[in-house]
Amino acid sequence: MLEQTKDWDDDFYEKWKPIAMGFVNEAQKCLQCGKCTGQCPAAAVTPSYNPRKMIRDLVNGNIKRVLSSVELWQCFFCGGCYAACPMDINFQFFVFMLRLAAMNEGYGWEDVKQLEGYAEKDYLKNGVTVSDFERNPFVVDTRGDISKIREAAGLTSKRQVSDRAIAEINMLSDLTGMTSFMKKIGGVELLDCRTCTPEQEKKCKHKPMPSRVGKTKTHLRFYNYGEPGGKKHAEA
Amino acid sequence: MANNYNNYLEAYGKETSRDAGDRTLNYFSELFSMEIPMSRMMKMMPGMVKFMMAGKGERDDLMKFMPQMMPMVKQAITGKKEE
Repeated sequence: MLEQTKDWDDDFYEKWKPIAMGFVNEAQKCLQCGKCTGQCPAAAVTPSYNPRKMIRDLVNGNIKRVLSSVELWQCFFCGGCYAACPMDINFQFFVFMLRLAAMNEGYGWEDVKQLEGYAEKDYLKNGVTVSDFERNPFVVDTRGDISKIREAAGLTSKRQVSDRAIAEINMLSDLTGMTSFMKKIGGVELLDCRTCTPEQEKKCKHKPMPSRVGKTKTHLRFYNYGEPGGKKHAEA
Repeated sequence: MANNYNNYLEAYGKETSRDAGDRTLNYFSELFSMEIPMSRMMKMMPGMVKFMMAGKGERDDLMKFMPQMMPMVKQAITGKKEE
């Protein structure tokens, strides 16, 4: 299936700029030099991920391709693209905004849904953002458990957050709408990597997704900027 | 749930990028709206109550913040923006 003129909306970016409260101001300055992609750690391991192409699609208005892509969810906000950009384009803000838009279109929910477990089990209960039970097994094997490292450094094994701070976190979560958002999306079972069975591992790889979130119908995403590790469809 | 589409063009079907763009623009204009509707204000209440219950210091802090909150509360209840 080929792209047609209807797949491009030239006005979108100009219309979006005043609404987005300064978050997406500079994209029209993009030179398409590709420095962002060249230094990107996510692009280094996932050849299909390409910030340059995503900025191009945003400015030229191929909003369908950006929002329905898997690649939009591969950024982990390191900020390297912003540091390397000769035109000072803050691509992370774009990703942040575009992810919200993608969720509104029904894409990316299989990833977002997993946050509910973190919020309920850790963040809202004890104020810690990193789950104690979900650790990178490679790090645990090579560096050891973080609680032991903390103890060796003379700290408590677990990070302590005061009651007042936890109360404040809860209030902020309610005020900003995070709590109601988390309730809306529902949660999935979070698995402990240290005691993971093959059956659970299988489940982990096929993340469950609701057919609807609120009024939004959910969809699976596509590799719109090329397949990971492959040359097929790479020329988007 | 699985969709049987091969690519995003098939998934969107006859919808143009303008349709998807308009939907997105509506979403953001609502999201970044400075007006707080009553429903959103009601969702904010449990958090403030929780914070007040946490201790006396927290209660005092929140009471100090209330004068700044009042115009927003009034606006949410009456729906009128104060000049």
